[in-house]
Amino acid sequence: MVNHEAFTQLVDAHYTSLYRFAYSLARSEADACDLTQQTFYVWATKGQALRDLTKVKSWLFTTLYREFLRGRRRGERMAPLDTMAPEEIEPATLEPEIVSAMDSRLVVEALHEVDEVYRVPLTLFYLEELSYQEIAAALEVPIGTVMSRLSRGKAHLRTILAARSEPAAKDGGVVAFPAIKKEARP
Amino acid sequence: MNVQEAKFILRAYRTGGSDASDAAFCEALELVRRDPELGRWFAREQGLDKAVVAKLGEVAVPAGLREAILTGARVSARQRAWWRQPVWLAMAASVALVFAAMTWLLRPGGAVSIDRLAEFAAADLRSPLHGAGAPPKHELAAKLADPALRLAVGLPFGFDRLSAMGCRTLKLGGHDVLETCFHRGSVDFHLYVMVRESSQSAGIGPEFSEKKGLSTMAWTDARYVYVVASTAGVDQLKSLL
Repeated sequence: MVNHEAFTQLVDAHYTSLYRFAYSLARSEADACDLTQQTFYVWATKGQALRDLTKVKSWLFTTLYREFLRGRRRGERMAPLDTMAPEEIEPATLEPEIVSAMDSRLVVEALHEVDEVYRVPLTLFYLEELSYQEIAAALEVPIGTVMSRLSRGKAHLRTILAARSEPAAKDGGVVAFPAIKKEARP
Repeated sequence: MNVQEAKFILRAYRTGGSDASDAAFCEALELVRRDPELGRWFAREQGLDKAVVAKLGEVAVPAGLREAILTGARVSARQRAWWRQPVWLAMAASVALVFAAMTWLLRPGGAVSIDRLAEFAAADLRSPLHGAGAPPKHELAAKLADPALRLAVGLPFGFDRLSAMGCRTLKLGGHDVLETCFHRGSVDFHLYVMVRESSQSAGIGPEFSEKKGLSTMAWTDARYVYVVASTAGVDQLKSLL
């Protein structure tokens, strides 16, 4: 039997972050709502067996991700790992002010363009709900893989953001200088 | 650790400072303090991360999602008949087993030995219905939780008072058995008490038993038969005496 008050508290504490994670995975509002609801449904039917209540948050994120993978059509696989060229790993230098000035919709769209294999840990990282160890546990990958995917994911995202920020720097449709430059190598 | 390794690690460092105590980052953060160039890189990295975190935090959650979750709009459509759910099937099987055990344990006649009370306690604790009753009153729970209370010297409350303070009343062989739960530290204990019959000796035990992860300790004194059960092991039970 679900304790209604405890369930409400659980929903209030986590549904916003879970929805944002789901939206990053599914890239559709309706599918993100379904995933979020499904996650709490799974909690109501199975999650209460979880003894360590400090792990509820990790459990919810892990469950949402598993539900996402389960619902994915057969044959649609994530991109293989380590397919980025070494030079792509080196992130473009992008000033924080440029990102701050951007519309949040543009930033989220840029995040959606990042390959899923990097986007999933990157979104969990930017939601700041889970540590890198918890992200590794949720995705069932080694810690080093999470670190690597975060590095590559950030590089990917910054390249996309930099490209998107260029129109904002346009004057008369001509971009005089790119808004980004490659980070100087030592 | 060189600068490239430090950068690699620090890209996983959250902006809110929640990773500050994580040992994995300590060496890299120390390098940041000593290397001004790396320090500038880190400040810009954190600035960019903060900007993205802020933008992600602006993603609006659709109106009505919370209510939809709470009212279980989709849940009701997905639920199977309650009696077909695995949890109910498992519970039915458990109840059948417990019923069989209880039928044997509750057979009438004769004094109830401390062994039989211990078996009864173990069967009761494994019942899915255990814990369904109201919790004991605070006064009783607090008294039993007090490490200064040594159960070997008896209980500070009589049988009738225990019953009035929220203990469950069970039946064993036609006799009343009172049961209550209490905690000491982080350990849960379950106390079963029944009035000792004249045909039964006082001063028996304590006798210990351990089966399927559940330990019991049983003894008698001038007035009562006691069993304390716990999953924490015999040593924890001994500490109560």
